[in-house]
Amino acid sequence: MSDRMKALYTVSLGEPETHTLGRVELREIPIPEPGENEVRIKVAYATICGSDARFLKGGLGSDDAFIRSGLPRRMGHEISGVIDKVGPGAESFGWKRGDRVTGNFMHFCNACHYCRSGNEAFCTHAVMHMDAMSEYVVWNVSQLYRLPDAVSLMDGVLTEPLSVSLHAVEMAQVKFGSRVAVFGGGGIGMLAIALANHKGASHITLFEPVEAKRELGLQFGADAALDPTAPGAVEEAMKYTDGLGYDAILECSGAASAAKMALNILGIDSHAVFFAMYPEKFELGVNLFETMYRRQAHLHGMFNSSDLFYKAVRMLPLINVRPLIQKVYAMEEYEKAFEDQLSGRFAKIAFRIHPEGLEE
Amino acid sequence: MSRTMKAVVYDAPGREHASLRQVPYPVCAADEAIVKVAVSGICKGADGDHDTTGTPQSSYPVTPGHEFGGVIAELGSAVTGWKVGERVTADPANFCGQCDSCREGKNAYCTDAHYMGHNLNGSFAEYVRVKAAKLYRVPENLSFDEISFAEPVSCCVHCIRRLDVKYGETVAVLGSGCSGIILAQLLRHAGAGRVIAIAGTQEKLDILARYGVETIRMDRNDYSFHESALRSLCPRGVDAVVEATGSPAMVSSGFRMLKPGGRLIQYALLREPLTLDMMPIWGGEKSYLTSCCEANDFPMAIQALAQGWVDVKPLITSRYPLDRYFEGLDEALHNHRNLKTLIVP
Repeated sequence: MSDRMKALYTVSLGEPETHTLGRVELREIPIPEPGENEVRIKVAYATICGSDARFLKGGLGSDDAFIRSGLPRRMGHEISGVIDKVGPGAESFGWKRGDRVTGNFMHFCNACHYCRSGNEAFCTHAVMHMDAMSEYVVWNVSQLYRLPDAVSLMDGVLTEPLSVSLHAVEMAQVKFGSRVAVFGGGGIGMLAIALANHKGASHITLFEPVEAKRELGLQFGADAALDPTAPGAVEEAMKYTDGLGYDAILECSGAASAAKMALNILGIDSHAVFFAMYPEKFELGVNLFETMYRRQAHLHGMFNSSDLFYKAVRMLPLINVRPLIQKVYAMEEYEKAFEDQLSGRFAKIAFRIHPEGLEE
Repeated sequence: MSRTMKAVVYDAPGREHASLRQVPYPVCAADEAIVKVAVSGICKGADGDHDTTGTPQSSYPVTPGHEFGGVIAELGSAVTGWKVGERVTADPANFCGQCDSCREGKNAYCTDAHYMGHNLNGSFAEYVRVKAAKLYRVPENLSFDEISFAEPVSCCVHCIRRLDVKYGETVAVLGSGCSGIILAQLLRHAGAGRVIAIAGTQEKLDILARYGVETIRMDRNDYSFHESALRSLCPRGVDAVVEATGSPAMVSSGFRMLKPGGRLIQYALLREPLTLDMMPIWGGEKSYLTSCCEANDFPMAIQALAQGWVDVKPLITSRYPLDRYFEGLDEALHNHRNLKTLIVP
C-alpha cells in the first residue's frame, strides 16, 4: 500500500455578493498514523451535510473570518468505515483491526466545565474531526461506535444525522399517541419522521415545498405531506389534529417562514424544537400571551446531537434509512456531488470511498 | 310481557352462584347506548376471579365481560353524534370525575369508578348498556374479533406509557401470555432498540419471533439458564423489564437481569407476597413500577390495532357460543396453551 491518500478540501468560501461558489479540491496527502488511544479508519462512506454545502455558498456571518482563517480545510463529518490499524492502548478499549465503526466527529476534552456537567456537545476544547471525506482518518477511541452486524456500512454513515434527529425527537417529548409536525424534508427531517413513527406517534405531518421530498416523507412514515407555500396549508394541517394543534413540532428546515408557521399549529402544552442553522440576523416574533401563556407551549433550542450516538447506533437496525441516500459518488466526482447537493433536490448524497468489505 | 335477553349472571362470587339465564333487556338512559354484542373476550384475571373469590371492584349480582365489539342497537334521547347500526366498542372504565383522585388528574385511581363487568353489567350477554361518552367507533379495517382486544391492548398501552421507553433501550418481557405478546409487539413501536421475550412455551415465543422480537425459551426449573442466555445477548443486562407472569420468583429474576439504574414494571398481578433481595436492587438504584389498569388509553390502543402495530389474530385460540360460556371459561383458565377465548352470543 502506498503511503499517500486522497482527501477532499474546501479551498475557498463562497461570496454571496458576487454569486461565486466556494471551491473544492481533491488533494494527495500522507496517510496518517494512529497515536496513543487512536485508531485509523479506512473510510467506507462519507455523506454530505447541509453544513458542508453552506461553506460553498458562503455568507457565514460572524463565523466567516474564523472559517476563512482555517482554509484550506478538510471536509466531512458523517462517516462509516473499518478499523485499519490500532494505535497503542486502543486495543485495551476493545477495538481491533476489522471492526466496523462510525463515530462522533467531536473529540471531547472531558476536562472543561461543559464536559464535566453532562453537556459535552458544548465542549470548549473539543478537537473537531471534519475529515471524513478522505481515504483514511485517525480518530480517538472515545469517538468510536461499533456498528451492529445488521447495519451495512452504507447505512451506518447516517449515524450522525440520526443522532441529531433523535435528540430533537426526544427534546420534543414525542410519546405514544403524539401528533407530530416536521418542517423540512431533508435528511434530518426524514429521520425525525422515522423515529417519531417508531415511538408510536399517532399522526405525523411533513411540511416541505419540494414534491419529491414530500413523497419521500410519506415513504418514511409521515401520514400527510403538505406544501407550506400553498394557501391554506396551516388550516389543512390543523384538520389532521381535529383543530387541537400538534403536540410536538420539529423545525429543521432553517427557513424563517417555516419557523413562523410552526408557531401557528402549536397544541396546548406542546413542544416545538428549532434546530437548524438559521439566518444569523433572523428574529422570530413570539406572541407571549397566545403562545406561552394561553397555549402553554414549550419552545426549545438545540445545537447538535448532544452525543447521543450510542442510542442512534441502536436505532439504526430498526429504521430503513437507505432511501435517504439518493446519489452515490466517488471522491473524484466531487464537483457533480456538490452541484447536486446545492440543487436541494436530494435528501442525502454519499461518497463511496472504499466499497463495502473491500480488503487490500 | 317485557323483553328479555340471554346473559351470564353471577349472583355472588363463585361458579355455584353463576348461571346463564334470561334477564330483562336493559333500559337505555338519556346519555346511554344499548350495544348488540357481536363478540366478547374472556379476561382470565377478572372473569376467573368472578368464578372464585370475586373481584374487588364488583357488586353482585353482575354480568361479567368487558372486552367486546358490537353494533349500536338503541340510543338515549340526549345522545348526539352516533347512529344506530354503527360498529363500536366501549371503554369499560367509567370515572366519576368528582373524587379527589379524578380532580388531581389521576382518574386511574378514581374512588367511585364503575367498571363494566364488575359493578356494571358487562358483555357476556346479547346486549350491553354503556355510556355514550365511552363509545369508540371500530376502524374500517378491523373486525369485531380484533376490536374486542381494545381493552387488553389499552392496559398494555398504559403499561408502556408508565415505563416511558427511551430510544434505543433494550427491554425484556417476561411471560408470553396474551398480555406478554401484546406488550412485546407494542414495545417494538415504542422506540425500544431491542425487545427480548422470555417465556416457557415455544409456540407462544414463535408468535413473537414473527414480529421481530428476540426470544429466549426458559427452563422453568432453572432460571440461571435464561439469565445467562440473556447475558450472552446483553452482557450489561437490559434497561427495562416488563414482568407479565405474576410469579414472585420471576420478579427476582427480572431484577437480576436489569442494568444498574434500570426499572422493572409489574404488569401481571402478584397473588402471593414477594420477598426481594434488596441489596443488589438498592446498590444498583433499580426502580420497581407497577401498571394495573387503563385510563384514557383507548384511543391509542385502537390506533395501534388499526395500524397493525399489534396483531391480535394469532391470540384467538378458541371460540364458544354464549350458551357454552362456562366451558369456554374452563378452557381459558385451565388449558395452558390457551391465549384468548372469545364468546359469541
